Amino acid sequence: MPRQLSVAALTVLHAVATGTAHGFDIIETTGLPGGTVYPALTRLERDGLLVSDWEDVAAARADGRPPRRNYRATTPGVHALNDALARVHALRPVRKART
Amino acid sequence: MTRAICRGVVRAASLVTPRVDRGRWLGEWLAEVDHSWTRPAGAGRRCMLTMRTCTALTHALWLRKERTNMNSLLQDLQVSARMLWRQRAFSVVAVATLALGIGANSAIFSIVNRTLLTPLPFGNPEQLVQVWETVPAQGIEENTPAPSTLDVWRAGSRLASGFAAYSSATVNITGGGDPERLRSLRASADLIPVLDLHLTLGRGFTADEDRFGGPRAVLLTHGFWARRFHSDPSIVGQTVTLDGDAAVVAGVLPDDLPMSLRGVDVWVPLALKPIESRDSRMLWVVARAKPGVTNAALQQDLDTAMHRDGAGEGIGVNVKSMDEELRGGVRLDLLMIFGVSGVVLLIACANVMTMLLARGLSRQRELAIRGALGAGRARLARMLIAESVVLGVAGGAVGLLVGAWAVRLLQHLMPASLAATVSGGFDARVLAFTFAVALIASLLASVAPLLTSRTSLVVSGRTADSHERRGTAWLRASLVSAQMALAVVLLSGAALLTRSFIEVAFTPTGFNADGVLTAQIPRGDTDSVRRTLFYTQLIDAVRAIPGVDDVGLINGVPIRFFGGGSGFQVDDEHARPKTVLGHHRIVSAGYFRTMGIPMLAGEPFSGREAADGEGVVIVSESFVRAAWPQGGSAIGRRVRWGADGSFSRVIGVVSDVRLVRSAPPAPHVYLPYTQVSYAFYAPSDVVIRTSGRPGTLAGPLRDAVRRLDPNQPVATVMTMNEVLAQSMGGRRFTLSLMAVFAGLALVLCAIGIYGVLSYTVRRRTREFGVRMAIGATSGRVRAEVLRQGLVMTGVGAMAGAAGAVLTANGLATIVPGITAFDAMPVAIASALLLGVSALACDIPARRAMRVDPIVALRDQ
Repeated sequence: MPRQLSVAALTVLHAVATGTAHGFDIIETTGLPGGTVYPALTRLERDGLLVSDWEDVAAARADGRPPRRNYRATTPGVHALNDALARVHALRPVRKART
Repeated sequence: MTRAICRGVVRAASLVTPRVDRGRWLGEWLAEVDHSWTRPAGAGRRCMLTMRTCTALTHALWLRKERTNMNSLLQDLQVSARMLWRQRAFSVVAVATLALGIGANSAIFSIVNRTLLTPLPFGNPEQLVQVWETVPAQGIEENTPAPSTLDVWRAGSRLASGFAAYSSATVNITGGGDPERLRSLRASADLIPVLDLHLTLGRGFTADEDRFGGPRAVLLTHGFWARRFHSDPSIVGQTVTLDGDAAVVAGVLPDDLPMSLRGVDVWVPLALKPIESRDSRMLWVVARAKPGVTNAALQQDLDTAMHRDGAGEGIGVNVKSMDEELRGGVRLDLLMIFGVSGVVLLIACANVMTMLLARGLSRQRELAIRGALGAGRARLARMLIAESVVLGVAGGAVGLLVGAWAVRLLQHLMPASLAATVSGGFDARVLAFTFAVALIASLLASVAPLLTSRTSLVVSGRTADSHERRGTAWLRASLVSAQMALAVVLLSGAALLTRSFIEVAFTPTGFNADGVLTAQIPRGDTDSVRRTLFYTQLIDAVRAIPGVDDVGLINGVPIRFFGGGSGFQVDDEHARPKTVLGHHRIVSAGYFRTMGIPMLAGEPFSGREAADGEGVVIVSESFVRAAWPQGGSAIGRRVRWGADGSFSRVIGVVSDVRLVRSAPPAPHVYLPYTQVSYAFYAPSDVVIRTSGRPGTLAGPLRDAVRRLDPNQPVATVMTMNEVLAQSMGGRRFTLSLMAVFAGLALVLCAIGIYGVLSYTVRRRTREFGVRMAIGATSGRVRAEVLRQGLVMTGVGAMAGAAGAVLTANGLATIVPGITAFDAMPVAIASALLLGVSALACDIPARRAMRVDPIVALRDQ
């Protein structure tokens, strides 16, 4: 059972689930620092919410670079993302701080 | 150029990553760096990419920290396992102690899980209730309702969505195998729909089949289907011969039914016969409450329906949830045993704790060195916990085996009456429970070593000794005392239950069971004349067997059969007629002589009571008290069974007989079998008195019956003393388990105290040597050790005695027949434990006595 998603993990998972597949691209999409994105990717993969594989070697060589690591959201990952988003959406904005 | 720097940074950072992750990590980061540099970018972007590359180091450090945490935990466990392996004797004793405690808990939990926690096999079982009648004036809480009452409930209830009824009976099956007497359940057609029961095969009864004279049908229970028909699926639709009539097999019942519905061979339609009184209280009634209706509301609803138009005077309604009805009987015993096994586990944990403590003290120097070399408190604590966890997991694994073996043994030893209701088995829930118990036990066991580990950090070398005496001796003594206290509580509880068991076992039953053989010989013949003739011939045939002194018949021998409650109208000249609840028993003339039931007044049946002659009855003394409380002779008064029969004259009064061992005698009305025509009340149980050994008459009895009718089954041949012993089987079993657990606690305690004292003697060898060198006698040294041990146990025994009194008070509220304060069991338990402790103390004391001063002074 994966633990509750942190805001950073939620953001990263959302980026992956919406099609951003590579580490640096995720950093750019989310605006989070690499020191936050990569640990989040490792944890999400360990919890089974993401899976990763490697880009086709031939395609990468054609671009003159090594193959990149692709991340994809799993079905439990999508469920966890939607649950977390539903919880976030249930929160209402606060107009004024209570004193 | 910048790209090369970035690659260099990544390569340098990769050196920080754990070796197992390095390849993938480096591949990913280099690919990302190379990819980002292939795209055109300005100076700002280049700068940002360079900064981003630097975060590779943060990621590498994080990865290393993650791996280190995991590795050090594994490392701790490995080191602990190696250390425990090196000290195999210690480990074996500790693991065995934990395994006993965990195994006992896992075995009992597996039974609790299967028997109490598994949902009933009905749809929405929480809506199902059993409905009983009550008779507050006679203190009767659960009486089976009459068909007329069921009709009233069906018509008047607003809160029940359905009612069903069942009753018990016996039928004989013939043809297609040996003739057999079957236990059957007469079920109304709506029983299966109301229970929402899914059959293994076929269908339930139709309304037409549940009508007198309707087509005959039968449902087979799963066990009977497997036993008699070898689980043949084509049996549905075939016919079998029941009591001489062909009946269609409508279906096969599921295997997971509760005992009260499964403990029979077949279900037949209830199909009440015209001869069965609508007022005879003979039905078990099940109702399904509408969703959201509470039991209390349903009870009120049925009570209102019953008392509408002034009916049902003096009668109340008792609604019990189906879960309570089916499992309530064993819940108390099981939970009690479960609690006791928990106490045994606590004792085992305390025992292991003292062992770890003693071992921890001898490791003080090692812990101090570790501390001096930089291991923090948390690190040392983790190491100590890891050792306990290794012990706990090993104890849990062995305990699981012990538990599985114990469950099989328990089910083998369990009396049949209990084995049918109670079952055990290992599933994921039991495994999870065992794992959790093992973990909790190991954490508990690590508490004491953790408490003393602080001492180890600040002391070193020989100074550790003085700290040990001041700081932790009290802890060890407290643990031993706590074990003693728990054991006294357990032993006195077991002694208390034994005492109540003995009291019940020796309560007079009202009959003389010695020299009496019983057997069930049910005659399925529906023709009352032919049936009566058979039983008359049976009496003559049995009486002719050599060695038989007397013979009698009854429709259910006491203790084995406790049903048959009916309302009897008594004719009272001084007051208006009233209904008295009594148990009807259909007997032959010789029954009272055979069972040794004394006649108190009047005369016994003559055996010549004609079916069309004047009705006569014999009543028990408690019936007389209930029917005619104003006193006077009961002889000549009149009694009517139900509201629509004819009155019978009382010709005799017999003394009371108990139907249940632990309950007071119930009022009885005895009727001669020659005057009761309905087959349901046939006097199917024969009782035979002999001056020899009753068991030897079983063979001649079967021969005599075979000569009368080769197709007539003879079942349940038992001596009356065996019937009595069987009735106590469940309680005896509970008691045996309690005794086993109490014995286990005693042994664990003895081991604990022996271990602690042995350790103390070993540590004080030098002190004893000095004392003896300066003149102390060996006797004095021995006395000193004994005193130390007995003080620990004495304190424990006193605390245990206080706990035992509290436990007895608790038991008295839930177990019938137990007095709240009973000093004897507590005294016996304390004395027994003190005796065992004295023995356990004496062995190390003698060892201390034999200390050679020269050797001792050289020690340490």
